[in-house]
Amino acid sequence: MPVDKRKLKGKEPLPLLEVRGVQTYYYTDFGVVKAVDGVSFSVRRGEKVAIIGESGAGKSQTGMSILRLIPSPPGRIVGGEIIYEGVDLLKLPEEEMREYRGVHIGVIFQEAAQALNPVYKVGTQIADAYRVHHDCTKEEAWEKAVEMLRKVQISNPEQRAQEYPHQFSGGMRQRAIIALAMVNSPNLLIADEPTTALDVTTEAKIIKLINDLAVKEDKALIFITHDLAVAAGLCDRFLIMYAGKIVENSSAMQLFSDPKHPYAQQLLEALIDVSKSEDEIMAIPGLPPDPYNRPKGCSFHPRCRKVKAICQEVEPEMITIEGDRQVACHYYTDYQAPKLKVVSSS
Amino acid sequence: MAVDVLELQQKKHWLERLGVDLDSITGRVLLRFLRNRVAVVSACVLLVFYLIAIFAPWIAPYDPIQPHFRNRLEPPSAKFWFGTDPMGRDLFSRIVYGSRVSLTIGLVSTLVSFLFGIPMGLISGYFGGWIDEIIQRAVEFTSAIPSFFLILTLVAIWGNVVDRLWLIVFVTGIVGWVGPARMLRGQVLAVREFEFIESARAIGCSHRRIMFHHIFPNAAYVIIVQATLGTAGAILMATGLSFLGLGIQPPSPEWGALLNAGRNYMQEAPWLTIFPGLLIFITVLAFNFLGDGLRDAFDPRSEQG
Repeated sequence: MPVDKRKLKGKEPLPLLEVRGVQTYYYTDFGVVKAVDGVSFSVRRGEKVAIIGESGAGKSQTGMSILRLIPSPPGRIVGGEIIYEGVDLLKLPEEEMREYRGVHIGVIFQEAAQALNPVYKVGTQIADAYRVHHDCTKEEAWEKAVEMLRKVQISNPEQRAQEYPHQFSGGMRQRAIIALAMVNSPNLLIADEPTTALDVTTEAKIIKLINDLAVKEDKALIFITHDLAVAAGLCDRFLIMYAGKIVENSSAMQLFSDPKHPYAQQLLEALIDVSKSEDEIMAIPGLPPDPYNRPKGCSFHPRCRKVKAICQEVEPEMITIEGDRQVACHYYTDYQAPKLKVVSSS
Repeated sequence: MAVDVLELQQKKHWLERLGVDLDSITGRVLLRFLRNRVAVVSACVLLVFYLIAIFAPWIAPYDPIQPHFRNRLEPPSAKFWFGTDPMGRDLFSRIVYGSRVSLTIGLVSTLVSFLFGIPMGLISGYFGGWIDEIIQRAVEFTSAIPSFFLILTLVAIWGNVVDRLWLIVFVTGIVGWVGPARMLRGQVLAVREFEFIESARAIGCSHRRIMFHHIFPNAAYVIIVQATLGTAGAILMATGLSFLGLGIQPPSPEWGALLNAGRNYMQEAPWLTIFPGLLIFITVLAFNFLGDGLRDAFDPRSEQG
């Protein structure tokens, strides 16, 4: 059930982005995959939100649904509303939607083998992205590209802009991707696993860069990752996703000190702590459910250690607790939080 | 080994002096291409042929059409390099002028086929779905038509109404769109899965911009290879038609027609068949070697060292 936050907290200003009951389904030959199944949340201006979940939980699909970049066919956004600054993006014609991509909402992609076009110079790509939305000369766009590269702390940007992606290191490519996402200064950034391909040191630097840029320019950030530890140092609010649904929506403090949903609890316990021996590391037993055939009731019940009869039959609804905190579990209250330190990556 | 390295350095040096950015894709492809000697020689041969075709009036020593019966069937000599035909016309001059016809057919019909094939292949691969279905059915339909016999029929019907040269060019071109369309579609299917395409969409690029600006440059190499092979095919087709007497009409010289005309004099004047045949052979071979060389140059897996 989508929860209208404006009713709950009348004093708060309108959120930058409000996602209400979005459903993104994939219609394949083998059946329907409910990649995103009724997801609701909101992002305020300047807020940094993490979407956490296993592979296939629907985190990236949620992010891509916001921009309406679901490959269609087979995918389709079948329901819900995505309200950005009062405009329902799902109702816009494609032409107008394009004006939102890059300009209002930017995406930072993962540095994969082909995340930048190998045919063009890095500077050209950033300049081109600027020229898609701005009426300016090539020289002005180039200046802008160099300025962006400087902003993402690439040294010697005038010369680096002249180079091709294959001449960049992984970390530099990731910086260039950030520059590409931010060149049209969007107010909302969606970072889709931006550091997964990088080594730990570079990862820390990139996270710091994203954080600095977001804070300095007061940008809202949706940070999609499977890595709780990385998100912990960056985000204010956490959305835990499981099998296409958000199961817990908490602030960073709330989640790390007192996780409510059993999945969130088990995720936190699975965090790798160097002081623990191999036997003490808790993996969550079982596998994520088959997307074609999700279990009846609560999707998590086959792996949940607190499963009860009702979990196998009735799907839990999202319940608002402690102000703006939400959880979807029949038995969230009877849990005693283990003593856990807040893990920070920085 | 040392010589190779030296040579590579020299080639890099030349390219840099020509203003080629060695870090760009073009620069790297060019460098790899230059290492393939057969392909480079083929490219030079074709370049010379095309230059000869362009500057034919300045190169041909004699008029290619005006008969001179005093010089009938002269063997090759210093005066007539490739000998003369039964009407006393200089074969070299006729081949030089004939190259204009043959090479034009090759080039223009390839251009026509690309004009249709490139947008079709891009649209088919990029959008997929029912658009792809329709285009692919059209591809299958077109490739089921035996183009040689289609042209034979059309020449029989309209051969005396419209210029046969352009008839052949356009029919080969229009029938030929399936080759590039199919090749390009396959490549587009691979390229559109790359992340930079999604990134381009996330930036707000239009479909047209993504297709032509982002996908095409990354898929175009299959087309370039196809172009060289297609040109060779078109030339063969045109010479074949002329050889059957259904192509370009005498007295205008065309390689296939020259070959056909020389057929009756194989015993007494073998040069009349040898030279045109040799030129067709060399041209088609050169195009094929060039295509192979380009394919290797564009394929990053063939890179050594």
